[in-house]
Amino acid sequence: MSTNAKLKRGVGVAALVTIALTFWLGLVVTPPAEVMGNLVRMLYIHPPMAWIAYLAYGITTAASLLYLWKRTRRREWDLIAAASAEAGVFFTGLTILTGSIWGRPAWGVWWTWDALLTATAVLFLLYLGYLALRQVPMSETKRGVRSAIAALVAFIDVPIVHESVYWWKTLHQTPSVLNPSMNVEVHGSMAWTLLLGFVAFTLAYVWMVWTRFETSRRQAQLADLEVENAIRERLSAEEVRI
Amino acid sequence: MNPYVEAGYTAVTCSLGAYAIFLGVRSRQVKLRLAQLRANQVPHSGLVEDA
Amino acid sequence: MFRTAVAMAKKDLRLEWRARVLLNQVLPFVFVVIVLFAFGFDAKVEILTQVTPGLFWVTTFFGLELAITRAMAIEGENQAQVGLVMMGVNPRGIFLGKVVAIVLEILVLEVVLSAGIAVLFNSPLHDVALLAASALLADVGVATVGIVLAGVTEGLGGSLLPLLLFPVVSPVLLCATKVWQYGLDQTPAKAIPWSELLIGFSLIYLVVGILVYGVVLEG
Repeated sequence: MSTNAKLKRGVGVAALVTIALTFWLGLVVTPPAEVMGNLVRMLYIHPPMAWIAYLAYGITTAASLLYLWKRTRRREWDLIAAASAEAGVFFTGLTILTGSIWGRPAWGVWWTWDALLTATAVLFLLYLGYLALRQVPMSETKRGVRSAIAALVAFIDVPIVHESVYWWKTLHQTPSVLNPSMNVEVHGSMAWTLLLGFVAFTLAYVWMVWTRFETSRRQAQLADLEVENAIRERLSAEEVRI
Repeated sequence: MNPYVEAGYTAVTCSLGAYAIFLGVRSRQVKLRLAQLRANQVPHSGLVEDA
Repeated sequence: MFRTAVAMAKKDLRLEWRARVLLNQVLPFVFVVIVLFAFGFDAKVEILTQVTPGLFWVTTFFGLELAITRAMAIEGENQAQVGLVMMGVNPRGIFLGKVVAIVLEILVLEVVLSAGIAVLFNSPLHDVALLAASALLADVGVATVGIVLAGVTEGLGGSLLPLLLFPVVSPVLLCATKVWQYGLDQTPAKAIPWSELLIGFSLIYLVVGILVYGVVLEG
C-alpha cells in the first residue's frame, strides 16, 4: 500500500474512533443539562455538522477559483470542488435533519421559518443545483468551467441570504422561539465533547472528500483509457483492411 | 434516554455509514476496473499519451 | 464596452419587437399565473389583497426566467453567440447589453402586470416611485444572475436554469416583496434597509457578471 493510501486509511480510522468516542461521551458520560435534560445531547453533533457544511462550501469555492484561473487550471481542482460540494450537501442535509429533530421537542414544531433554518434550507438548495448541473453529461472542460462559475455565484450569495433572512425574521417579529432554551451553559465535560465532535466530523469530512476525489480521478483516467483503446482498435482494423 | 436524541443519533449514524459504504464500494469497483484495463493494455504506438 | 452594450441591447429589443415572443407568450402566461393564484386562494379578495406583493413578485420571477431563457435562445439560433465570440466582441458588452434588454422588457411587463393586479386583487398602488425603483433594482439583480447562469446551463435542458437561479435570487424576492408591502401600506420609511440590500445585491452581481462573463462564453 502506498503512503498516500496508508495516510487516507489512517484518517478514516481516526474519524471512526473519534466519532465513536464523541457518541460515547455525548450519550453516556456527560450529564443531562439543567433545563433541557437529555435533549442537550443533540448539541454535540448538530453544530459540528453545520460547521462542516460551511467548511465544505468554502473549499468548493477555493478549488473552483483555482480551476477558473488559467495558470492553476487542473482537472484535480474541479474534482476536489465536486467532492467537497457533495460532502457539503450531505452534511447540510444532516444539519437540517438533526435541527428538525431538536426543534420538535424544544419548540414543538418540526420546522419553523426562523432565520437560521431558512438560510440553511436555501444553502442546501443552492448546492443541490450545483450537483444537478454536474450530473449533466458534457465535456470535461465545459463541466469544469461551468460548475466553477455556478459554485462562485452560489457562494457569493451565502452572506446575502443570511443578511436578508435575518432582517426578515428579526426586524419585524418578536424574538423567535429559539432564544430561551438555546442559551446553554457549556462547561466541563460538555465542552470537551463538543470540541471532540468538531474534530471527529472534520476527520470524517476529510476522508469523504479524499475517497470521492480519488474515485472520480480514477474514473476520469478510466474514461481516457477507454477512448484510447477505442482509437487503437479502430486503427488496427484500418491496418487489416489496407 | 430521550427518544428524540435516540432518533437523532441513529439517523446520523445510519447516514454516515451509508455514505461511507457507498464511497468505499464505488472506490473499490473503479480501482479494480482500472487495474483490469491496464493489465489488458497492449504496448501501443504512442499515438495517445499514457494516462 | 458600453458601445457594444448599447448595440447588443438594441439588437435584442429589435428582435423582440419583430418576434413579439414576450408580448404574445410571456405576458399572457403571467396573467394565467395570476388567475391560478386567484383559484388557489379560493378567490378570497381579502387574502389576495394581503399577499399582493408576494404574488406580484413570484409571478414576475417566472416572467423573468422566461425572458432570460428567450434572451439566450436568440443567441443559440444560427450560433449567433459563437459568431460574436469569434469576432472578438467584448464579452462584458454582450453581458451588459443583454441585461439592459431584459430589464427594459420586464419593466414593460411589470407595468401591465401591476395594473392588472391592482384591479383583480383590489390593491390600489401607492408610492409608485418607490415600487418602480425597487422593481428596477430587483430586475437588474435577477437579470444579471440569470444571464450568467443561463450561460452556465446553456444547451443542458430547460429545467436546470430555474433550479440554479431561484435559490440564488431568493433574497431579491424577499427584499422586493418587503419594499412593495411597505409601499402599498404607505409606510415607505420601513422599506429603506430592504432597498439598500437590493442595491447591494444588484451591484455585487453586476460586478461578478462583468468579471466572469468572458469565462462563461469560453465554457
